[in-house]
Amino acid sequence: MNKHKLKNNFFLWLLLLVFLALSPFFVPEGYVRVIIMANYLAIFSMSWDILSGYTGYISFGHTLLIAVAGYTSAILSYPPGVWPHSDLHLGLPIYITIPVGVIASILTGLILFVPGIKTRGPYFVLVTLAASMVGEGLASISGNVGGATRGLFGFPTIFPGTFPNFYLSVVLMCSVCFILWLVGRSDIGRLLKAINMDEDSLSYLGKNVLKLKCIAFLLSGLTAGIGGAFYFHYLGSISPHSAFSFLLLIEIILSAFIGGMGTIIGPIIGAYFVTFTLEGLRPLFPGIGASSRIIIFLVAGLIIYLKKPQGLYPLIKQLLKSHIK
Amino acid sequence: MLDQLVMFGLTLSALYSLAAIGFTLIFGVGRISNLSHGTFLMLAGYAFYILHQVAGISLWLSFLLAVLTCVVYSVMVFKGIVEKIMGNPMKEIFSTLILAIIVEQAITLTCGDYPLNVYPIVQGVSIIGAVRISNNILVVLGISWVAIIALLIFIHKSNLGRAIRAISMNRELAVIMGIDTSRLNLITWTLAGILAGLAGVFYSSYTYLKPDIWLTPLVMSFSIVIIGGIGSVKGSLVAANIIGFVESYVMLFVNERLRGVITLAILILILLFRPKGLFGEEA
Repeated sequence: MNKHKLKNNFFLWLLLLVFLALSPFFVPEGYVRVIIMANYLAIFSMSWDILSGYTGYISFGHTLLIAVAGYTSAILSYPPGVWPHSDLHLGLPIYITIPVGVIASILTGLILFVPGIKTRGPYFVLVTLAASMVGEGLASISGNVGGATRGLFGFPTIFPGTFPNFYLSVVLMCSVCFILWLVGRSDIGRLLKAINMDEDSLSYLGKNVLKLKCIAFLLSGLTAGIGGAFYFHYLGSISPHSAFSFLLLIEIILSAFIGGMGTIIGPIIGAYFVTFTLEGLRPLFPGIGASSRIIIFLVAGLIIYLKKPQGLYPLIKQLLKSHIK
Repeated sequence: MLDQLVMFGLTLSALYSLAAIGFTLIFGVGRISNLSHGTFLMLAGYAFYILHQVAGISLWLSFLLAVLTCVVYSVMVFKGIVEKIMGNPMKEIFSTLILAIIVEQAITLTCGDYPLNVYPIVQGVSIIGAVRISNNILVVLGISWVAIIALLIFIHKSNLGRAIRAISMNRELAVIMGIDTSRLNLITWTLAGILAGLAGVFYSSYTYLKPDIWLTPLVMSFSIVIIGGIGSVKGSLVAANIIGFVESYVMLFVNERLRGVITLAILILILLFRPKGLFGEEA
């Protein structure tokens, strides 16, 4: 019975994946770019979910993890001798700089873990927010190294063109999703969720809460780093404004909320929902209407969050279950 | 330079105190982290700018109306959103944050996202001893401290104030003693609106207006409240002065662009080593 269900689910996912992989052949190129953005947002949101959705430690420093990976890789791969010039621009190949960027992001995740040892709730929110603002401040005074407030642009991209980048983003999203999904349904995932419910009881039961939290921060740093490094190489530019954007942070968190926190699959649904809602509103409010579509999107997001705090994924699951029966 | 340090330090500390006391009252009484607190200040600043500099309404009337706008907004946030989701910290944090960004975007839409300069409330310069101080800063300092002292007297001498302190110290006991929490919440949000309204007009006349200026006062208020001990008005005053003077010192003697970074780095360090703040949790 259970095996049968698993098989059913597997085919459903395979179908969705094939559909996604074939989508560039029947949707216009503009939409393929939108899907790429949705895929990266999904990676960020899943990475936020494994930490905040599971353990309840709400991180406002996620853009910091993403930015650290992006900046590290951008600076190291930046061709030397090109303006803005700095001795730190080594022009290294990206197959070296991206892993270095990911490691930097993991280390940043571990730094955020230090306040996570002692502080919880609003305190942790504040520390992560402050850490992210310190990061933004440092990036905007980074001189020639990070290009200060102007940022860096023109560092190497991985592939030219939309299609290779599309498949890269699909592969990245699927691998991140698979890893986090495996972790999520393992004992570790269940224990991480238990931290959210009652951290003290968990430690009385003899579980090493510190180690568990450390794993969550590590995984979050790893996946945010992978997403961040590839994302900024895809864009080909990075600036304090784009990397530490508050709107990006809100999109990441809202994706997890709308899709369903603590589910890993939910944030993907949420990320597609968020990206396509924002894109779908674009023709209605062209030109200077950026603010109006953000307002409409945020109001809608807020209402969905307040009315359906469990998110869309559990709802869809329920719907499927009743239909298959 | 030293006189400048004192002047900047005092002004910044007074502004931060006004913003942070409102935040700490809300946090102390309702245990609510109000992340839209920064937009209270910003909204008062924009209201003042529009009323006085665009519509041409007289200075003190605009000032009064701007503070009133802030109070109305504050009460609306409480009654419209926060009261319905109280007791769920995550919902409070996110709803008020999303609200803050909605306000930011609404202001971008109506007033543009470029910086606006607000005229000083009063013109001219005074010479005290050998130091030249702009009259604006003197007025800002004067009104701020009058408001702060009035609030301290209210908190410590009146029955309502005692109730507010009691509920910050021990929520369960205060409720058992028959303190009406929902009424007190409304009163603290009104007070926070008044203080934030004053701070907002002063802050914008001290710096400038921009749709994203809500973040700095919010993070500073939040930091001050945590360093000073949650719910403690006196602790907030001390912490606001520490942060105000550190920031002024960095601005004048180290590097102007580092002012926010160093303050926040100090905050992170304090939170790492003393998560309950420098003075512990007391009212």
